[in-house]
Amino acid sequence: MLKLLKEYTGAFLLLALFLLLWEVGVRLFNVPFYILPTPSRILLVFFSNLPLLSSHGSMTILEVAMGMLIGGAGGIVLALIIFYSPSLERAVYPLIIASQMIPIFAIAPLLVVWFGYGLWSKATVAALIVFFPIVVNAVDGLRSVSGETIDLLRSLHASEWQIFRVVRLPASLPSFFSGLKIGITLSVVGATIGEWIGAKKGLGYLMIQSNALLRIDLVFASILTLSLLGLFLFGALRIIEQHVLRWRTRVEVNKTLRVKQ
Amino acid sequence: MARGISVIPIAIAAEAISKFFPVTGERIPVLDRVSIDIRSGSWATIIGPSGCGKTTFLKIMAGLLQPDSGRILADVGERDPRGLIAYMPQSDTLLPWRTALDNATLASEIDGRPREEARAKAKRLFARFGLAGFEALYPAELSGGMRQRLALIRTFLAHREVLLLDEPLGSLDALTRATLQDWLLSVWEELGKTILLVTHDVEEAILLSDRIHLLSARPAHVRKEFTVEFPRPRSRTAEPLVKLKGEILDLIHAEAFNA
Repeated sequence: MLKLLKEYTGAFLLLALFLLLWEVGVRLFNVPFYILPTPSRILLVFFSNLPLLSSHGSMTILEVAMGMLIGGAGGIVLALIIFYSPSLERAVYPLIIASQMIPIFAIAPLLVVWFGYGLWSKATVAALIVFFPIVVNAVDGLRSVSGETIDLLRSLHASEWQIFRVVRLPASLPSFFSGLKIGITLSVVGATIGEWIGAKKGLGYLMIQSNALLRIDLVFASILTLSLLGLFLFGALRIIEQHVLRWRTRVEVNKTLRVKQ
Repeated sequence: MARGISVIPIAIAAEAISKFFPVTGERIPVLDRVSIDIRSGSWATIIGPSGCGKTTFLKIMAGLLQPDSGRILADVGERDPRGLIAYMPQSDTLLPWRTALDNATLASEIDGRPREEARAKAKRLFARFGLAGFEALYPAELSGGMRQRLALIRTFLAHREVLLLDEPLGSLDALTRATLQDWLLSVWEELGKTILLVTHDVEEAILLSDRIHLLSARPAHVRKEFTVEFPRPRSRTAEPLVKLKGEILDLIHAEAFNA
């Protein structure tokens, strides 16, 4: 934690300054709390409503996790199809790109009609948002292997499966993780939007409800929870990434050490 | 293959290899009936002006490209040369996520040979190549010379009879290069493999080879062949060696000028 503080000192200072200005500004101009609550009030509401926020938050996490799982698995399968079959690539890739022109938020109400008010409509929204960056990055990763490396393996009589397992899969992991990292932040947005449109539970649902009741402080507390949730998911993914890509982590650490010396 | 007068058997031979590359609808000839015999356990070198098709020829020898005409013959007759050859591409092609040791044992893994045995063998070669202690490092943590040595170890550990090396020392500075030439020579003498080396360095060719095949400018054919009979280890400054170097360089320059 101390290391984190040290690494991001600038960011923390800037954030503190922003919150301070906010606090002072609201108090100075006597802005009513149902329009814009002070950061200190938001924090108070956040802590006094922790059970409520975590119960709604756990629903949102579940939706994001399911969305990542479905979108991720679908993305990997599509990436493999696109990579290994040029004719299917020509058929599928343009459609995938075109599908990104459809605003997901516009079809979210339909998804609620089809999949109901529960977990699955939100997981579907998240999955639809997540799969695109995963497909694009995974395909790039699979293509990142040099022709010479493939030549080397072919000269050793390696089968296509061996080439995939020994070279393509490990080579594609760095960009696959980039796709996941983009995806996970987007999927939190996706799940929240889904909850706005129709849900019985979740942070997005809580925000809409609180907003209607003019409990702006609770809206802000929900936003705070959402950001923390996003940060937590991103951080967890980074830890997994650093473990899976140990080789890269170590090489990078050594490089910075060398520069510092 | 070994029929006729030759007493030492031929390890691998190229017979009238021709290759065209399609460029904007046209067929550009790259190789024009290139024939080369390589004796078992010998060191053959291909040299020629840059862009003459040396790498293309090596890839055909490695079975990675099909010739448009001609064939590759191995000591067991005509067949897929893979299984007999180990190919080392121009760049080191080390896998960045594998440790040095795991890179070295790549071929054993592909062939499904026992892991522990391969690792033990690799460790011995690491010591031989001055890489002992670096087994657990990743390629990015090694210097250029070390990476190239590692790629050579990987090639030696492929357990193939014939090694095809595409400018293995091309990217190194002169000093590292000279050291690695000595190393390569001593390992070759010890392991008794057949080597076909592609290089653009005439001195390197003369220092190392039994036979030098000089290719012409594109479309490449064998312009001239030299048998190098000076005893090894050879001195870079010995007079006959310098003379031969001059002769080959003159021919290459003439070829490059023709191109």
